[in-house]
Amino acid sequence: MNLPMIWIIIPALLAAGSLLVRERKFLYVTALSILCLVLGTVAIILSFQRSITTVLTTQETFLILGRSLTVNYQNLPLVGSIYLLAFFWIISLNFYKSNDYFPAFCVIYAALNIASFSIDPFLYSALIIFLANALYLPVLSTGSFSKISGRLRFLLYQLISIFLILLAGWILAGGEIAPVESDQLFFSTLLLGFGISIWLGIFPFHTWIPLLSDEVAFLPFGYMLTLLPLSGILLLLKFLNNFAWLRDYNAFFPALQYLGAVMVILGGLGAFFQKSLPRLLAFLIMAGIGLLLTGMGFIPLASTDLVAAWVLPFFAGNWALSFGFSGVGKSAGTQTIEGLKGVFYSHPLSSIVLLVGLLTLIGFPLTAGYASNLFILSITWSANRLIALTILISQILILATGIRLLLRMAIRDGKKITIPEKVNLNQVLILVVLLCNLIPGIFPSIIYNQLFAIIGKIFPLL
Amino acid sequence: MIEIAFVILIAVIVLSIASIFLSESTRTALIFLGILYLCEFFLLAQVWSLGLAAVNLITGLLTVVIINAFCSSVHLKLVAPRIALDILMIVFVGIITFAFAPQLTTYLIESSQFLIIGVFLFAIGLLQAGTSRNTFRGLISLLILFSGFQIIYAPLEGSALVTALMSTIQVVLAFVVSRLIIRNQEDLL
Repeated sequence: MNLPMIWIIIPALLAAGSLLVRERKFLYVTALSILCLVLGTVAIILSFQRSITTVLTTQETFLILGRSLTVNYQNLPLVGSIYLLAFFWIISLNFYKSNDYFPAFCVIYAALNIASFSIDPFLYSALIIFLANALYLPVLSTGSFSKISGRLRFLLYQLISIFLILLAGWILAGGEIAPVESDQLFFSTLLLGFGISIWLGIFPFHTWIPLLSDEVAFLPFGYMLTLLPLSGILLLLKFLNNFAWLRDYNAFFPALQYLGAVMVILGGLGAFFQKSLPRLLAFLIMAGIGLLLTGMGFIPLASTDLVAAWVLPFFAGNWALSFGFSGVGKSAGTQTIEGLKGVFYSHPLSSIVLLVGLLTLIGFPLTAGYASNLFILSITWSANRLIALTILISQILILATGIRLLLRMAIRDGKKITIPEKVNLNQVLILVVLLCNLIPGIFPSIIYNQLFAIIGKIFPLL
Repeated sequence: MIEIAFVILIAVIVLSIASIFLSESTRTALIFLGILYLCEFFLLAQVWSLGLAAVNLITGLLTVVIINAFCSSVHLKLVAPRIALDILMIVFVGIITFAFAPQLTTYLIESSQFLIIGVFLFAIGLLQAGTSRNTFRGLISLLILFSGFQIIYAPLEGSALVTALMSTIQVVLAFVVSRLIIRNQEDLL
């Protein structure tokens, strides 16, 4: 037994096997939730215990068809976080109408994402992520298939991106043996840039994100767009960590900074002028991806700390947004902001979760994004004020969007605020979502220092 | 590769592509997709071991069977402007590919014949997927694009894991998108 077997292969097989009992919903969902919770918790506990005494196994590599999957103790906190994310999403989806296959594919998607950053050579991670996306596609929707153009476009874009990334990686890998010529470096950087841009939906390749959001359910979409950018960012970090050529390439980091800033402002503008709820969620997530990218652009100044700082707010914010949108969307019965009239009175908790998620993403004080926001603004303000101003303008636009949503939801429309008579599991979960969004904002130093250390250990050369 | 074999191969590929896009029958389109996979096998067998190339061929044929199982009832309608556009697209992409693909040998160390065929399939798949409004054609275009990618990438990397991953991706893609197409058709009726 080795670590990749425990955290990748067995969970994926168990999830696939659980499909046989999907008719017995309680057993099916509970078993998969417990699996994710145990895997997530054990991974995090072991990563802390490792320095003291406990070692589950010393084998960190699993050989597969002549290549290897490596999960080591340094990666375990990240692995654990992904399984905890899957756990929260499976639990959340239990309260809304979802595709029967979602819990199992949620675990498989998490396992494949972990496999993608564990595979050596790491270039194959693009292929694994594409496989994960193709497998996950059927569970994105809860049953509406009248429009599928967004899903086809998503697949097309992802296919092009893996092609470009694999070619770029092949050229760059040659640089490990012999020096790469300058035009080859330029060509491979161009391929890599386009590949990652298409993968992450960076302007002008962002069109698949809003288009896809129109045809799918909020929670599965939010889950995919939380893990997909993370895997893209990790792949890019691995490229940077492994290829000194790329780190030394003058145009690379400024390009990331500006691309990130464009994504942030595009997300803000898109959200501000949006009338459709799914598209609003898509643009908010795009702004989050932009912040992660901008953070990567400042690696020469802040190492990986800026990226690490935005990972938690991105996770927590996306969860709150997806959860909140599912709640208010279900209550409103329509997919437009117009239809949210009075939702605050019928579903006050979902409305609050939605607003808190939105505030987390813009780094509002006392939310998980606050410390990260201060960090990114202080770095960008000293290095490039144009980018700092772009981020600020986008955050103002998103804040205005939040106010617009609040005003729309608070229109009375003859409704009275309903206070539930007894506490149910859904409300407990809402409390957990809120705590995840608020605790890191109230005690930032405890959590963020750990996060910096974790990401820093995985990419020691950055 | 011997020059004459390359000419025959590219002629079969161009004719297969033309037949796929100019046919009103899904079955005819799928038969020519199968022929395309056969051509790909002959190409890959020159840079990969016969076993790996055979895996690729079997996956291709399995893909055709899966799509046929789901989409045999799909109706394709051709209109004159679309036919003209498809023919123009094939000619245009063919000329551009023959002119520019061999220059990629500066960056990718492989035979120009692989690059010509690979880039041709990739570009035609991409353009078809981008311009076609028919979802079935969209799926076929995705698979052609993927074949082009495999032909370009095969001489660079011939590991069993890559072949296994690509084969799995191809089968999953065919299964998932075929199912989507048929569900979409049911919802629209």
